[in-house]
Parts: sequence; C-alpha cells; structure tokens
Amino acid sequence: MITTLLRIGWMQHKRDRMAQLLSLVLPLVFFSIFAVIFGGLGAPRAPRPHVAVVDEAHNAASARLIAALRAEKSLEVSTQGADGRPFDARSVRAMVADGTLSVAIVIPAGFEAAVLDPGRRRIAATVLADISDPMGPPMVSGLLQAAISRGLPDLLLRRDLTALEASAGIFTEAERQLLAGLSGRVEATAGSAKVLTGEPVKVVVEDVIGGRKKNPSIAYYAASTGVLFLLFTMSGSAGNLLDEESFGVLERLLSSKLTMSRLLIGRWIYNSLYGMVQVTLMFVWGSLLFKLDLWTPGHLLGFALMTLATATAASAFGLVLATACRTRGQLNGVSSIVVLTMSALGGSMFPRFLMPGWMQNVGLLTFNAWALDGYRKVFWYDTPPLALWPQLSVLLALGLGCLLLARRLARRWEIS
Amino acid sequence: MTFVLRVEQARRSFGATAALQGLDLSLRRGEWLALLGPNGAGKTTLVRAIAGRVRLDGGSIELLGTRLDERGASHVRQRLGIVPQDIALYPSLTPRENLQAFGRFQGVVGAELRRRIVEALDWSGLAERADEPIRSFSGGMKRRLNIACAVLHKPEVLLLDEPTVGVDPQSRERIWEMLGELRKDGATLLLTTHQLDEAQQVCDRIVIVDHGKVVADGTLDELVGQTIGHQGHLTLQIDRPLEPGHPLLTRWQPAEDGRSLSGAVEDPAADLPAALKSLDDADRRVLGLRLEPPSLQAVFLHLTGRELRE
Repeated sequence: MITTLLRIGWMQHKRDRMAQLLSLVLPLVFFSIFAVIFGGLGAPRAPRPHVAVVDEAHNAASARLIAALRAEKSLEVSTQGADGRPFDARSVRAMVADGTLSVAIVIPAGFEAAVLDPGRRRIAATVLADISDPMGPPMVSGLLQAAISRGLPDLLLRRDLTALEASAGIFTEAERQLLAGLSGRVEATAGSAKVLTGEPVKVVVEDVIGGRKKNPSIAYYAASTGVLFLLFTMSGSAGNLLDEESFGVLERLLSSKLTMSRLLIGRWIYNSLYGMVQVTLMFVWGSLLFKLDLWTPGHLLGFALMTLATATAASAFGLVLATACRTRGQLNGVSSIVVLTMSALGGSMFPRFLMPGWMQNVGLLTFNAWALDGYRKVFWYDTPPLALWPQLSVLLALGLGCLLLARRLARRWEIS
Repeated sequence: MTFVLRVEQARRSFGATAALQGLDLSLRRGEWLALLGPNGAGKTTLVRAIAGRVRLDGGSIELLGTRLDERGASHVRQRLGIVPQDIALYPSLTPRENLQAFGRFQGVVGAELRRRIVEALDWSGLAERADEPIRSFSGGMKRRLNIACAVLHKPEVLLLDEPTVGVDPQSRERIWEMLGELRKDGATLLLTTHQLDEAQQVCDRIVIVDHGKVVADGTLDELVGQTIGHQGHLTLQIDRPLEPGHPLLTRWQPAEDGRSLSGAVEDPAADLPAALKSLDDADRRVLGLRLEPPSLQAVFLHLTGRELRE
C-alpha cells in the first residue's frame, strides 16, 4: 500500500510542471542571486563601492594617498567628474546628498600636517557618507586607513618618531642619522607596507543626509515590503479573470454589452485603487509606529505620485500574468516565480547598491527597482516631486506597455 | 410566418474538426424549440455563434430581422437572453448583488433595475435569501438564479443550455414552472438538453443535430413518423425459451438466454392476444409484459446511433 502511495505521489508530482518549478528551480534561482551578491561565483567577493575623492591638499602626500586608494581593488576611485573637472567638496557633498554617490573622501589642505600630528587630533580626511548604504561608508573608512598605512608608511614613522622624541628626549646626531636611513627604507616600501593595526590617523565620517532623519532606514523597508506585496496582490486580484472564466461568468459577461477592453480597464482601475490603499496603509502604519516621515507636504506629494505610478503599473503587470496563464493554479505558480525573482533583483529583499553592477542593471528591468528608487528619492534625499520624472515616466510606460500586452493576450477570450 | 431566428448554411471548423457543416435552423416568435444532439454534434458551437461568441466560416444568422455579421448588429443581441450551462454567477455575491451586476451589464439601470430585481427574486423563489452569499446555496437555487440573471432585461429570445442539469426533481419542476411563466408572456425559447423527456414534454418542436447538420426537424409525432414509425415496442418475458422455428421468433427478437422476446407492434389490440395464445399453445408461461409507445429516445438513437461520443 505504501508503495502504491509513493507511486501515486511520484506520478502526480511528475505531471505537475509548476510544482516542479516552484520546488526545484525557484530555490536554485534564489540561491544563485544571493550567491552572486554576497559570495560571487565561487570566490568570496564584496561589493565594490564607487568613491569620489577630493584633493584639497594638492601635494605629494595627497597624491600618494590617492595612488594607494586607486591600488585598492575593492574600491572604484575617481577624482573628477564626467566633464573632466576635478571634484570639489561642495559638488561631492551634493552628489552624496542626492544619491548619486553613497560615499566620498575629502583630503583637506592640511592633510600632511594631520598625518604628522603626533596627537592625531587633526583631521586627516573626511568621509562624506549616505548611511542608507549600511556597508559602503564603513568599508571605505577602513580601506582609507589601510591606504594611508600602505601608501604613507614613512610619514607615519616620522610622526611616531617625533612623538617618541617628545617623550624620550632629543635624539643624538647618530640616532638621527640612523632614523633618517630607516625612514628612507620605509618610504621605499610605500604601497606594499604591512597595514598597521588600529587607526593610524583621524578620519571623520560625516552623515550627509541621515543626521536630519527621524528613522532613516524605515522608508526603505516600507517601500520594499510594500512593493513586494503589491505585486503579489495585483497578480492575485487579476486572477479573478481566470476565476470568471472557470465559472463561466466571463462567457456571460462577454455575451452582454460589456466588451473585453472595458472589462480589462475596469479591472485595472479597481486593482490600481486597491493597490494604492495597500501601499498607503503600509506607509501610514510606518509613520504611526516607526516614525516614518510621511506627513510633510513634499513627502506626501512625492509619495502620492510614486504610489499612483507604482500601483497602476503593478496592476497592469498583474493583468499580463493573468491573461498569459490558463488556470488559477498556473497563475499562482508563475506569479510566485516572477514576483519573487523581480523582487530579489529589484531591491525588495536587499538594497540594490549591494549588488554587482551588471545585476543592478538587470534590476532596472523590474518594477521594484524603479519604485524603490523613487520612494528612496522622496523619503531619503527629499527630492522635489518634479525630479521624480525618470521613475514616474518608466513606471507609467511599463504600466501602459503591460496594459496593451494584456489586451493583446486577452484576445483568446474574445470571439473565436 | 414571423421568424425571430434564422440560421442558414452555418459552417464553422476548429482546425480539422468541422463543428458546423451547413446547419439550417429557424425559430418562430413564441415557439419553444428543443435542440438535441450527441456530444460534439455542434449544439454548443451553434448557441455560441448565436450569442456572438463564435464567428462563422460561412452561412448566416439572422436574429430579429438583423443579420449578425452586419456592422452595428450587436445591439440586436441585447434582445437575446442566454442561460449558460455553467452556474455563471459570482459565488461571493448575494442573489440581489448578482442580479444588480448582470442587469447593469445588460443595460438595465436605476429604479427599473431595482423593480425588476424584486420581481426576479420573487419569480425565482429566492426573495427570502436575497441577501445571503450564494456560495452555500443548493444547486437548484443557483440554477434558478442563473436563469433569473439571464432574463432580467426581458429578452425576446432566450437560449437555454442544459438549464436543469444536476438538480433534483423538485428544483427541476420549479424551473419549468418559472419558464412556463415566461411562455405565458410570449417568450421564444431555444433549449439545448440531454433530458429527452423534458424536450418531449415542454417543447413545440424538436431539432436533432449530428455532425454539424440538422438530421431531423419537427414535432415528436412527425419525427416518429419520419423515423421509427408509430408502432409500439413490446417486451415479453417467458419461463422457457421457445423451440427453434416457432412462428413468434420470425416477428420478434429473442434475448440471448431466450427468456424474453422484443420487437415492434403495429396494432397491440390485435397482435397481443394472438401472441399470448401462441405462447399458451407452446406451453410457455408469460412472466411479464411491457408495451412502450414510440419515444424520443428511440428516435434519437435511431438517428444518431448507439456509438459513444466522447
């Protein structure tokens, strides 16, 4: 009897392709996405942040530090913008503030003096950070200290000798000559010197944006969770079309005065409104319990525009899934695969800036990426509503495209 | 004679399968017509073509004087009511809400819609449960609502596809009472069904289709005359098989075990006494006797054969 049950179980499973996809293929897709982001394909690999470096010192020491930073494989360093002009502190601060960069380094005019300061009280460099990126700024601070240790070992030795002289008494001429020779040998190791433990110089991390926020990361979680569930809700609601088909209601509706275009438009509008309510509830909940800053005019307007565009696009996408599938069961399987994959690639499960560049570009094919970028602009960078046009345009275009595709796919239900 | 529906030389194929192969059909105002045929005969394709859900490859359909393939002919379909075989209702809605929805889709609105919903609830016997979701309703209640939703806009022609399938005898009787009330109002009805007894009892005329064509058309009496003739069918059960060569065996067919005889009877009053005497003479005792008048079932099987259609 048990063998008969095993045989039936196997036959049922073998014939249910969707169950096979969900149980065997989807976990592999997710594992691969996580592996690419956090582990690389076989070799450990961390994200490689892009860092803008401002050189206000313009001397040999700062040039050696920049060279050491460039040699650091984990960083992508640039000192000038696309127009070829060197960065200045003001421009990089603005870039961090508007989200163009998550981190920048400013090497001040007194850099060399700060490195040589035995008391380490003078600021050797400032890291301008957007702390909505939880990994980039701490990583860059650490690599900056390492670059100073590797690139300027002679200066650090000189500083330490000065400190030693101050506490142990003036060196004799012989000692001085010995140390000068030693300093020359140490300078020759620049770039390959062993990294000192601890922090050799004083580096300040300045939070460019988050300092004025009540609960800086909560908007990201509200948006990412909201968009993930919005996509599930929209595909589920659009599945009513398949229920109507299976009950025979669709045949009856299409035999009445109702046309397929009107039916789809009606469903699209209803699902969009429902989606807006769902996302709004998420943000209001966030504002009441987790101090999400929703109730300022700029945030409210930006939120309304983003929610309108996101919900209408997701609603149209749900219709595409429903019109492409033949049964409710098929829709449930397909939407699980598509929505979870899109959400992983589009940043609903972890921020996209943690992903390799190519994966970030792939993520741009998803609703999630554009929606989350828009919400991030509104709540994190305080971007004015007009500047949301790239995200709004893409979402509206995706929505319109999906609506037209759904209409095309729905022709199978029309006159045969 | 006023025809409300005329189908001429309707042809439609789905791939290599020819569903309609030059089918002709007409329906007079106020007439009740039963459309019969085995599975795959083309009934559903014909009904869907009349409802505008299937496009013909050839031929024409004229509904209430308008050819359905003409531009702007869709308005005439608003005078058509369709009762689908499926329970085509929203299960989470109440009867009142379902009636509201389907009434509006058919163009009935406002106070007129509210008035007709009250009438429809009363007519279908659902007034007391008008505001309960229909999910928990019996099959018969859902069937009645299914019909009510189709007639809310007072169609002149009603297409009914298996309206009583899967319901108990009481519900079936109630459904036919409901439809009988429509008949009093002069409704024209085209019924597709496998319930041959219903077709025989309620319809004025019967059309049998097979392989996409009409194979018989007329009243039950006419169909009987055209096919099996008016003779009755006799079955006699006897205690022992007859000896070979007995004269009754030339008229009637013996069963495999020889203990029953069956066949056509032209004149029962004259034939039966003679047969009983002949059996008595042969020292056979009659255990049972059944005489059936010509039935639609016999006509149907005569025309469409006994081969299974699946």
